[in-house]
Amino acid sequence: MDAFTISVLSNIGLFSFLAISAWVLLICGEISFGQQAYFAIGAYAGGIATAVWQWPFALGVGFGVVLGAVIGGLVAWPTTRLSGMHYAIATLAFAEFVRSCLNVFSYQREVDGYLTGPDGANGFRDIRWAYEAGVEPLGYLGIIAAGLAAVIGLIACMARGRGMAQLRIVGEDPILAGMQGLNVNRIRIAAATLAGGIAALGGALYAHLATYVEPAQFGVMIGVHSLAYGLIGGLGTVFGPILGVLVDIGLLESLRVFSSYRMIVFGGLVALVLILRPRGILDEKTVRRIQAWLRR
Amino acid sequence: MLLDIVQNTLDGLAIGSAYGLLAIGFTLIFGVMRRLNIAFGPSIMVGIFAGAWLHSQWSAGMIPVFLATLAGAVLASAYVERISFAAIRGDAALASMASSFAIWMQLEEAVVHVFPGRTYAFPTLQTIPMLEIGPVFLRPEYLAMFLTAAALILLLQWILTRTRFGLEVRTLADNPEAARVSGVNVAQVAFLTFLLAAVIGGVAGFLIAATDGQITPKIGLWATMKGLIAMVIGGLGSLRGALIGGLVLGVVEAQAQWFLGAAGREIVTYTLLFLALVMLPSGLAGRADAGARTEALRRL
Amino acid sequence: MAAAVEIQGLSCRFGGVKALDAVDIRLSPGEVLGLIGPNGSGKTSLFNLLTGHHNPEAGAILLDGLDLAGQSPSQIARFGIARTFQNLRLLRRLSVYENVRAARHACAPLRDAFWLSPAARRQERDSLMNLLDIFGLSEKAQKTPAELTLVQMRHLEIARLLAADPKLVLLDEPAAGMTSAETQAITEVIATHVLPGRSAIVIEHKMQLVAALCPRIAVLNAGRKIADGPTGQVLADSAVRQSYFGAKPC
Repeated sequence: MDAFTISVLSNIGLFSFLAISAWVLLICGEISFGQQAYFAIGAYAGGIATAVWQWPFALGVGFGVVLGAVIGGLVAWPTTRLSGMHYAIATLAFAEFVRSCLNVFSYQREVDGYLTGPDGANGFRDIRWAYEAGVEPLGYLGIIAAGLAAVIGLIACMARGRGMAQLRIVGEDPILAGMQGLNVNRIRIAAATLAGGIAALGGALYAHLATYVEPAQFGVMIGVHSLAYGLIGGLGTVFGPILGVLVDIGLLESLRVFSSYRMIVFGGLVALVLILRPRGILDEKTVRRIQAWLRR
Repeated sequence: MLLDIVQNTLDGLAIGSAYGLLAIGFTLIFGVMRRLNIAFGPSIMVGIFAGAWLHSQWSAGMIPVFLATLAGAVLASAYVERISFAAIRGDAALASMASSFAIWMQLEEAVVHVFPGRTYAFPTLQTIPMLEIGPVFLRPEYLAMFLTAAALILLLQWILTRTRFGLEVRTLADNPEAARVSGVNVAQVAFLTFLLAAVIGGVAGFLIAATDGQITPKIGLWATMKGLIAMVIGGLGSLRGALIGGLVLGVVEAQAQWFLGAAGREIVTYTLLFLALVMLPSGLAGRADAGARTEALRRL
Repeated sequence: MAAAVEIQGLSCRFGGVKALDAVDIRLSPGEVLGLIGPNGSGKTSLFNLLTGHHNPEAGAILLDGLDLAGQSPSQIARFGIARTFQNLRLLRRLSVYENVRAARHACAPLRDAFWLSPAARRQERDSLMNLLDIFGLSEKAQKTPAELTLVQMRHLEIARLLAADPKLVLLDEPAAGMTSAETQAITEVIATHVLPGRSAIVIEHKMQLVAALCPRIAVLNAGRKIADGPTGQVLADSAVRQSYFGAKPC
């Protein structure tokens, strides 16, 4: 595989975490404009753990994931009782709050004679675990793929268990969910925790691939993008958001035919898909049909 | 200190009145459609660039630039309405939102293509001297901004309460089912409301651009954010709330900017926004989210 | 395991309108009560108070002696109250099977969210398919509710209610919009599968169903209980006839 393909695939993988994270909340009936906050938290926490504290990679990434999940749950605790629009704006406010805090967040320590760590708006350089451990881009793509497979596996387990059904019932009709004995608030907080952890995993992996992160990378635009991926790809299955990422980054960026008109083409494509299929390409109905076909 | 606060409040009220107009635009669309048009800001951005283009090509005066801004915003909004709202079924609110985001991408890319530079000049009103009221200063363009916004809001109030169209808009916002039954042409009223919102947004965009004197395509994102935030602070679905939300946001931002600098302003603004949402979910105007819960309970 | 219900002095208002005014209703375990009254008389409001969606202004609701005041709808559901809806409330995007299964997710331990053993899945599947079979819906298990007829949707709601195995069932016009033959069929299903071993309150305008299922009825009018007693006796009451059927006293 050439370097370009590897970098495109890595990008697809990393954005998939963010897209799945927003998708989990969409399934649960909540629109989040702010999953990039957890991506940023994962990136910074993972980076600090491996670069500043010199923790092993897996532990550093794990730290990022746990922090993202815990903060996701804590933010959800007061916000889940907000409805629709209010929740969306609250997530947006939190994400911008995180970004503006990172703009003034400095935490530098001397490591091997160099000052390492985040330095406010100047960003966070030298997250060099992959370089020091001698992991090639292809090997790192493998790590990203393994992480993504773990997330998909977790969601597949939830689909076999009661988790996904609970999320979907709450998302579809919270009042009815309550009448079926489901604790709607608790399920929403659980969904936000899960979504926070997934986004943070993506962020931690991203930081170690890019070796440099800065607050400006975690703006609203990428949050809205990740939300759109799920809506384009479809809400019926976890492969929906991944399909959305594939369409955007895979098709348009890698083909380069549309080069500078990429957004005009992408925008038009998305608008068209949504007119024809308001719940995305892989919507619930299609997924059920595919499942029935597979079962035969 | 006290003087600073007074000065900041005045400046904040002026810029806040523009935020209020943006929020009113959002509220009109949200009220009638029950769907969120996040391409509202970018539509205004198209209008502003149309004005800037007219200005740079023929060094047009304020009035043609103003009209071009409105025309651009209205045209872009009409495009958004056709593609993202009229063409998508009424119950697919998420699809409309995602679609308006897609159109946002298109509009932004299109503008960047036509205007490849980073910033463009916009004609300003700065020929009038600074007004001094005792110890505080009032920038004339701020005064113009405030007065225009006030006049526009009065006009809007008149339209909504005194005309047949206004009555239809209010019926539709209050109860879509009742509106349909009583013979309101829902599609047409929705379209016209979209255009009305675009005009209001266009005026706000013009005022802001004419105050700053320079514009970038980022103003689309900026306008969407400020409008949304002001709308939600004020309480969804209330025009009065939207205006109050805009003014509060403007004043808070101005104070925080003065005392804490740009980074501090962002942190304070978003912290306040988050806290306001959590503690005061029905907004300053005291009106709860008209949608979700009441509607869900009504179905019981 | 049927529950005893005691409703004491229950009142609630929406805005200025008094929806219920000091209503007392007592149900002994296993009893089936028909609730009738003109539209807007507070029948559905009573259900909404019982399921915890509105808070009473005054009065108390006791389920087997347990006070339901201040409990959330989900807790009340777990105490064993389940209901159907006059305007149908199905999960549009989920399959018929998942609609019935919705009643089985409460009280599940956290582990179940991530994993169900194949045996547990099979057991759940078998019992729910049996349930769907009773209502003639097993063929439609993988369809969406939108693909069902109105009658099938009403059956599906009752199947979902049974999946929760409640102690007290609240049926809100189970035969609305049905023909006489369909009403007869659903009456039989309710009598054989829903009522045995449960207490029930049934709101219904169709006397055919009420007379067949409910040995006792209560009549609400403008939020007040105006009659309560054996069905035949209440229906013969002239005040009831006047409020309900608009008939002049003879």
